[in-house]
Amino acid sequence: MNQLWQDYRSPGFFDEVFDDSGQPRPAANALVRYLGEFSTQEIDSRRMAADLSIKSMGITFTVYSDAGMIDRAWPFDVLPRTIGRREWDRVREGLQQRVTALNLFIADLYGKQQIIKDGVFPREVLAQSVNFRPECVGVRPPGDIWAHICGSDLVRDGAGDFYVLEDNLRVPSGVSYMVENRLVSKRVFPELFAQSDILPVDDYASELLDSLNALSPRQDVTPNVALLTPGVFNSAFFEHVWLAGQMGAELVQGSDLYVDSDDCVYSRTIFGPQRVDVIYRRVDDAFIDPEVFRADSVLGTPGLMRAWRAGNVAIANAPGAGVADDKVVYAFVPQIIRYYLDQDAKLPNVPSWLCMEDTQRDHVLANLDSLVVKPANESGGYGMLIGPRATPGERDQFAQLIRRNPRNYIAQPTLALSTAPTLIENTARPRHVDLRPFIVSRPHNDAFVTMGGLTRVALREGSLVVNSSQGGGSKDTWIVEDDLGGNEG
Amino acid sequence: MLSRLAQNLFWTGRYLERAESTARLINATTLLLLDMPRQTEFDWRALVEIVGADDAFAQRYPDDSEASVMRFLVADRMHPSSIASALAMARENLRSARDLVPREVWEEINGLHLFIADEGQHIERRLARSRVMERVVHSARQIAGMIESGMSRDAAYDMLTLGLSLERADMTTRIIDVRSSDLLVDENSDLRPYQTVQWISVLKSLSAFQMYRRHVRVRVTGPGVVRFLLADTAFPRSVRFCLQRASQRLSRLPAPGRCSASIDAAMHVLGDADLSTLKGHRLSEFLDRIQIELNGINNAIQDRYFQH
Repeated sequence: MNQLWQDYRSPGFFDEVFDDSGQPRPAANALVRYLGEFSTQEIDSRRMAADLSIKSMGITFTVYSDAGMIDRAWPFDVLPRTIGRREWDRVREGLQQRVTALNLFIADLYGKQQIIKDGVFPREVLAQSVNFRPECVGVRPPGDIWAHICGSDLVRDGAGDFYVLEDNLRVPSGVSYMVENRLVSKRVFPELFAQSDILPVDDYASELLDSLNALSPRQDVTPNVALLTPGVFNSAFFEHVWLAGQMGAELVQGSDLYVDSDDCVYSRTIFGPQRVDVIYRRVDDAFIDPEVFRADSVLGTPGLMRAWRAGNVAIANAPGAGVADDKVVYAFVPQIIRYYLDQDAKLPNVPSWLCMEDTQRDHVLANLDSLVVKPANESGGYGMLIGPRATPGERDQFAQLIRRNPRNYIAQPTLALSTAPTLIENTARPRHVDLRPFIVSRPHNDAFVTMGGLTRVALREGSLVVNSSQGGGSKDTWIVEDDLGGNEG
Repeated sequence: MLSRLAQNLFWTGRYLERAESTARLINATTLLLLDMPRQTEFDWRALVEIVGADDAFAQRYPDDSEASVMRFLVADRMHPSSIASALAMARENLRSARDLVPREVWEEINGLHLFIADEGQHIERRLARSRVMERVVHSARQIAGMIESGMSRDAAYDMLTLGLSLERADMTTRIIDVRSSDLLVDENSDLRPYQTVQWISVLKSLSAFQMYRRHVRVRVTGPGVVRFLLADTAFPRSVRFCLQRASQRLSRLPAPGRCSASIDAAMHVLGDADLSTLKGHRLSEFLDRIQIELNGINNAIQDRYFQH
């Protein structure tokens, strides 16, 4: 082997590519063998080719900082992460089960609230949920689907088992990078794609469009689907444009739409008003309709909720779906699955302590130095405490926060996140990764799951923070057809 | 097509064409100087006048040197019509509408924007400069080809083309304007033999020299070039051709009304003039008149389609 893999070891962690004895895992065989023949210069030139592709393709994300908005090139590591097809199929079933149950749960919360009456889910958790929208009670969206698009974050522990870390049910992003990463790695390693069975990822937009079309209140005409974006300053704006383009949907801002006296939504076009049937919104609930939610919002469209409640427009994800995007609700998901589906969860949760429960809170407060504490409703890695890395002062501060508002916090053990070889100065070094697959829900308990997902990698040595807004990178994720034994051609 | 995106595409077209025309102008001028007698005093300010930015230039630059003018026209981000600014604005406008054009168009504009941000600094030496300008023109031509061959003739195409056509008509009048006035001060001076060379350079800056030769078939003269570049019906950079093209695109858009009328008005101004007798001061006035008409078209489109 050449310098790339030389001395590669990831002691104490499950590595995605190499097993404990230093041998490539079956799904990574072709990759390791192939790159093993590369000279250092060759590796470097492929890396530069990838950087150049990303720059010239204009793949960017926007970061908020003191200096204003910065449009940054998407951070991409050329070494792909591999997973065998059979293992992935099991994960996929677990995800389907999970979002099916979550959709039933949300529909129940805005309907009869049977799960509360049956004593499985505590009423006080719902009462304090910041993402529960009383304005949505009694609404029946098409097919009773609320969370049409879900991005669940998966991690592996030291033994290599997948766990769900969180479910993003509001406006999850990253799927465009998943597809673009594949495009870049095809440009950079075309030979590898000719040699191994890497399953394609680029049908996501078609699947999504089909699902959105099916929501249209006017089934007799070709539906007008619009993607509602907060605008160019949003960190995921690249993805909004990308998705609109891939689906052939109109990319709109709140001010491009209005709701007329007939309670229908129209867009302002050069041809005059055009009715909009389905809105894939990438704007948070709180901002979509200043008549109902935040009155100071300039990102939304007045009357949108009126049109939605009247059934004249479909909105994905449905307003209020975020109620299940809550770290406290997360802790209840295994019970939720059992309650609605009468099944055990196929994908386990990371063990979690609820600070709202007295005994669990005492445990958390006594073990802050070994736990990760997360606020219930933040995303992007903001506002959390990584106990082992925090200073005593930071831990004291968090202890106070928890005591003041216990409902808002959960704690989890610090996980030994799996690693994957990542190119650092022309050699492979272990870096921690997670995985965000995307699930599109449809009526009748049907759900499409992406082939793999977006692998995010913490580029700093030892770091567990994978968010791109905080120095994380990404990798192409290969679901590789398992070798069925023998060489059948 | 959303009104907001229609506006984005229209301005993408205008800015892209502005970047290309400016690059053409700079390149042709630089090449022209090579043909001039060595002691010729060349007035670089003329290029600043073409883009109508005299005041902005005077405020920010202490001298009229070649280096100052080049910096101002190519790289100065404080000058809204510099090539770097025009490309940044083209990119910014297209950023919101990139799903409406072929992906390659976005990639090329993005790449060109990055290129000029890097290389726009190395333009003081003429050799490097002409390479940079050629890349800008070449890229813009590539983009035009992608648009022509890869874009359905829909409202997005109409808006983009409308912006391109209007800007091109405008830049053509500006290039004629400065060349016709006083590049070389005195017609009776020793520089008279160079008049022809200058007019050839005007043609070349618009890639019009060959077509002029083929279709006009008399020696290159001032009035001949003026007539060709303003009123030729077949050459794609002539003002008349650009107006025709804009008119065609407009006729496919909903209820163009006053926009079409404003194009007709500009055509009349062009048709009524006796172009072969226009010279010097009177030519300048005439070109101003055309520019006012073009501005009227722009405003009519703005009022009709972009109010939202």
